[in-house]
Amino acid sequence: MAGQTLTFQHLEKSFGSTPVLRGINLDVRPGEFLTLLGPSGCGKSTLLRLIAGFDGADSGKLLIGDSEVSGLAPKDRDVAMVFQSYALYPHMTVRQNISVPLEMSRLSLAQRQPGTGWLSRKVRETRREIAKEVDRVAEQTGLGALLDRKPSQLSGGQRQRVAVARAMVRQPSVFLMDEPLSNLDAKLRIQMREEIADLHRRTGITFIYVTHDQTEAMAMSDRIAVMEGGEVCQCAAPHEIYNRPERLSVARFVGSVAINEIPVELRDGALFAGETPLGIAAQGAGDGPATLALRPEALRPVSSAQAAMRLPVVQVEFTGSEVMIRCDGRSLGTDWIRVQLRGDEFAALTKGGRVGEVLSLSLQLDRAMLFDGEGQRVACAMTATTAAERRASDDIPA
Amino acid sequence: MTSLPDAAMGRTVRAARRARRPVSYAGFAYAFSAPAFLLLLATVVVPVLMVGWVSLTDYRLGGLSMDVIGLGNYARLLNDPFFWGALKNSAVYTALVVPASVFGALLLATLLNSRRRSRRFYEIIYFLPVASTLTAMSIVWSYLLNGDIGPLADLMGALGLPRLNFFADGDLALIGLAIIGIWRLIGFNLILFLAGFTVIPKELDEAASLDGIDGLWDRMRYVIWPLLAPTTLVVLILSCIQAFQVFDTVAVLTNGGPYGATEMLLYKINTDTFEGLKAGYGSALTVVYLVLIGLFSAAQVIYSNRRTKH
Repeated sequence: MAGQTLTFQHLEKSFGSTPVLRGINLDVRPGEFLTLLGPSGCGKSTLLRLIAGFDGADSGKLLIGDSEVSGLAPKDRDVAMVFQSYALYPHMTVRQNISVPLEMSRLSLAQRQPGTGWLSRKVRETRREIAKEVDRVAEQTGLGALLDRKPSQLSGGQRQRVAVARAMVRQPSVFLMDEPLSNLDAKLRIQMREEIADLHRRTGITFIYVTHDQTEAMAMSDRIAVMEGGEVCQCAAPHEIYNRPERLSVARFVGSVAINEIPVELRDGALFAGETPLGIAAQGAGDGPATLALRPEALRPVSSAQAAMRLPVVQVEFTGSEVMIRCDGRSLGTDWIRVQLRGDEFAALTKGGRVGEVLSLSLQLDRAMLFDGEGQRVACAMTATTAAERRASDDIPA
Repeated sequence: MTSLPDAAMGRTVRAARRARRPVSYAGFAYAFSAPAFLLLLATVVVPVLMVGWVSLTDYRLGGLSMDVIGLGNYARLLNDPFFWGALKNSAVYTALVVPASVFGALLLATLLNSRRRSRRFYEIIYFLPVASTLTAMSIVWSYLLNGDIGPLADLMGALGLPRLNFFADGDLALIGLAIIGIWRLIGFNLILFLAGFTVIPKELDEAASLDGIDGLWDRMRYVIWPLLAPTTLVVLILSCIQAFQVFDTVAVLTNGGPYGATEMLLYKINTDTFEGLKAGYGSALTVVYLVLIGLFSAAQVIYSNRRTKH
């Protein structure tokens, strides 16, 4: 049960005249947990279906290991899949559900017919082996006591486990999961998330996990491929995606608190919000409209003398260990500016901790990001300009 | 002098209360369902009761008087070899038509369900017999199955096989009618099965293909057959009712012949009542027929009730 590599080479797929995948290029490493993340309609599920073999690509290559699989039937691809709806056989017991893949691959059509166990010792032995393997997998997935139940007698989490067990029992080299947690309640989702991560670590199989939930993607993946409009916009480790998104849309999609966007104008390498200079110089960025994006934790509360911006507080939200403060961002040309503080930081606030007060903030410029008019990230170093420079830049006519 | 206005006020209050009192909900319900109820009474309930009553008399069609003879008609019926013959023929016909049309339709539906573009075309083709007039189609079939000029006989002759003349042969006539019955019923059942297929989710089919269930027989056995079992039972019962009701082809092609080989229950009711004019006896036959059909229907109702409870 070793993970295989997966290689997509310029995969294209359209339904009718609607292109769904526009040239996907991606290399998945063996044993990697790769998440396809994106909003609905971005093509992530279609890509998964291409891997499983339910659909064929219009052009491009799809390799599992070293072999091109485009012509192979789903069962011959050495992949297993957990479906969103679990897709269990409703008329079969849990044991039967899990043993189906083994029966199909190890017994011939004739051997599978009822009554053959009476006639052939070999069939009896194979069936016993299958039962043993089902027991082992059921043990691993905590289904030992439920083997004789029907899916309708199971809870959502248990059904989920049966679907995982049915996929695992085949010992595939690639494991596909299509939003497997979306039908579960919030608590169970976090529990199953951990179980799936454990399963991945234990088996060392390549996992391809499709989701639109960025927290899931962040929590479980080795790498995340963010998809949008049928393309992979960025494929990188979760922290990379979070801290250095290559597009504004990616920055917007990840992170549980919305990223702060300030529309700015670059003039001679200095940032202006409307006509107000922000006191920030961006070296290496061209002039023109841009967006300054800041994660909620890249804004820090400071004394009003050191403040880069002073904003009225509109809402204070406690989430337990952290506090989210929503400020009115109209003076900066945006709706809201959200600030995330640790509990102790919030407790230490002298001013700005209540609705209606004014919060003084500084920017952590090493964590700030600049995106150009097309939403592409601008590679530049941002520094705070001194008071003198700030005054000088004030005099430059607009 | 206050009593008068008081009394007047009391009257107006009472009148207002009467005017505002709503007609009860149940009253409305009965009023709205009355037309349907009366229609059902006039077209189904009363005729059935009348048939039941006539079956207890010696009434002859066109006669001006009748005597109640109790269960005399039923006693005669039990001793009538033609009744037992017709019942047997109906049973054989049903046994031929039902399995072939149900399992044939299931197989066709399985094949058609995976078609995307040609599906509609085949649906129409198979449904045409249902939409066509069976009386007219019977004439076409009598030509197709004719032993002298029919293409089937020509084909069999060319292959060196005997030229079968279905409707002239006492052993084959019932089979000939069954072929037409299957041809007609298969399209109807096909549509029911195709509707039934919508209960199989796409993901389940895909999961099955990933698990290695991708041959026709395996799909039938592991997925389609178990999931369509409820649909199949309904189709089975409906087909039994339909097969038991066969009449048009008998009347057009064989008139129950040769020598009563294709005389079936409904056809015998018709001949006895309207040609033999024995309305009393015909009514007794009809009651037996209604009881049999009623049993099939009851089986279906009981089954579907049990399913909705689950």
